[in-house]
Amino acid sequence: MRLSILSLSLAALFLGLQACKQQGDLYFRRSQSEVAPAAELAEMLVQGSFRHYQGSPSHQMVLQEALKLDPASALVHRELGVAYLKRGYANEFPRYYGQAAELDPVTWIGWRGYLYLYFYRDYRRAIGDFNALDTLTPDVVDQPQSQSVDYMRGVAFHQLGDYDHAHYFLQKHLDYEAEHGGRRYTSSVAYLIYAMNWRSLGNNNKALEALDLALSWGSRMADLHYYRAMILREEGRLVEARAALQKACQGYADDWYHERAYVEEFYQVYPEDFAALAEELNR
Amino acid sequence: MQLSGVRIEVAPHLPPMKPLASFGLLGLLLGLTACQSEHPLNYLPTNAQLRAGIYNKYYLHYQPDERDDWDTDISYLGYQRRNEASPVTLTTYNPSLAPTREQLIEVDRDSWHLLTEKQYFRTGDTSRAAIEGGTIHRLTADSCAPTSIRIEYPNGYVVTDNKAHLPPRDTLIDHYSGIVLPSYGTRKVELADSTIREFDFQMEEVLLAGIGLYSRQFSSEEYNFTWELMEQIPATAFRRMLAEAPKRIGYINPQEALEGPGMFSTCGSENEIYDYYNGDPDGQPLGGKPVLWQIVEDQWEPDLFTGLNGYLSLHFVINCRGEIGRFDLEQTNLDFQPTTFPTEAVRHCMQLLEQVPAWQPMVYQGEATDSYAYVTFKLNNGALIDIIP
Repeated sequence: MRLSILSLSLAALFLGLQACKQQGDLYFRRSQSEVAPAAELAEMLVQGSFRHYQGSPSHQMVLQEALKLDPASALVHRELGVAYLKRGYANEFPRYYGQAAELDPVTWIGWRGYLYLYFYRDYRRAIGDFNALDTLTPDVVDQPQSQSVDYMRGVAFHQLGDYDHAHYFLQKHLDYEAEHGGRRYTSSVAYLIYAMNWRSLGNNNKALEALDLALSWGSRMADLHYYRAMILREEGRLVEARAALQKACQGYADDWYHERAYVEEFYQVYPEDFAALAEELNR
Repeated sequence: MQLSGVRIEVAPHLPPMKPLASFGLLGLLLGLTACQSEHPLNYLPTNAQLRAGIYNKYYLHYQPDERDDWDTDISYLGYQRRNEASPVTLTTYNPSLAPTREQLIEVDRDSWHLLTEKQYFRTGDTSRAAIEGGTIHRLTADSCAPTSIRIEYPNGYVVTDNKAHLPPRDTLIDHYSGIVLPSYGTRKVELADSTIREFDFQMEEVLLAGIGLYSRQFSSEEYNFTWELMEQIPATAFRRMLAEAPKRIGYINPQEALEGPGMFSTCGSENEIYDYYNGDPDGQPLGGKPVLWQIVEDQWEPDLFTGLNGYLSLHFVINCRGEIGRFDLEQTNLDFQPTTFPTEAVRHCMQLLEQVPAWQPMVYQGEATDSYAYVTFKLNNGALIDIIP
């Protein structure tokens, strides 16, 4: 009996030591944050990712953590795609922006259209996305990336050479802006595209009318003056063309011209354009 | 923001503690008592973990201002100690597991004391701080005298904490015994540009035996943050994670450059290559895209592209001298799916870029800097229909 008690005690002591040893080898793991539910935390991680250089390993790791927490988050997919987009990795576009547009079309399909238009010059897909967004939000003029879908549809049709459809949407955009904000406060690049579309339709007078209207509020935009000079030259109004070109050069020198972050703007002007037009005007 | 209702799981690949029959309670008690030497009340990971290295992963919840929303970042603390007589090396890592700070800490039953501290920079350089004072944690209530710690870096960054310690409280979180360390005081931060910010703060830290730092809550008029321990990672797993950490998006391995290794050199280190669009001016052909279009107009060889469709993207580096090299290729069809273009077509596009007479290096903070850039040739049925960006 005494031996038995001794054996049991020794066995228990051994077990106790074993348990202790295992405790030393345990690794803490929390099943979930105590601070916020997974989906909310994923959004907080997206915000936290901005503390790191975009596309850096840390930025990606924080976003991957967010994706683990909320694999259906359109925001996370989109955010993961931004650096690929800016750095020209077209093959990643469907994986991130495409996925974001599928997960939350109301928020992201218009953005994807914007990117098709400006980053990939894929005008048909851009129009498809803007049309799809109209279907989802029928009574709203959506403004993804702060640009009207009507305006962008106009640009896309213009680039496709479908100038009638382009005119329809550009006119619709300008009318909407006139009603809601006032013509004076409408982006002058919209008037530029509108004018160039008139030119493509073979109506330089209407094109000049649109540019004159945009310039009537004192705009110094070099591109407006440059294309006005170009059309005036086409009309044989050389003196006016030279004066307009002079204003274009001055505007450009003063940094008054349209450009777009990360990609070239449609009808973006360069000093070489001024030199070439000046040469033509001086022939 | 308060951490509460703590739930702890044991990593599933590890065996749970074996259940003990009631007759073994005495033995268990003896066993646990015997293993107290494994957990001297210094609230660190276990000795075995310290010897091998153990990495605690935290969510760092941060509120820049009381009016702002909270955001969350990730940070790791690595604990390592050669033997029980040695100080503990406490290394802070960023989310991609790169070290950002290393501290040498003397730990005893009464306090944690900072001996040395150094910072790691993106460039790979390090900078060692001068330290005055040094008490980080006071683990006993024997003294309530305030402590002061001043950490000064050669670049002019100085942080000084004058801190009063409230009596610590014992705690038990799941089966981990620990200590709650409340304190309050004044933090003074001096920046290299002579800006000084001074503000009151309150802090509560929880240290657990077998874990180390479990949580830290800091609140002040300037900012608030909370460290929330998510998991402990063994050294082997941490090393594996490090090996698998991604490169920056756009990284081009010099050894795999299309033009061959060693043909091109950057001005700075790998970590100092930014992106062409970060500058003023940006990195691009000097004269803009018309220069490239002119070269294309003069030299394009249409026969090389017959029937081709897609985005042929050449990624490369513009160095601070305006030279380009370290080419990489990405090939995508018009549906954004991977494709392959003929080598001759790729080579021709590369040669066109090399024909650009001069490249504008990206200028960052007034200094010409190396940058990653790309040019995409968009092809439709053999025709070049656009050059992006």
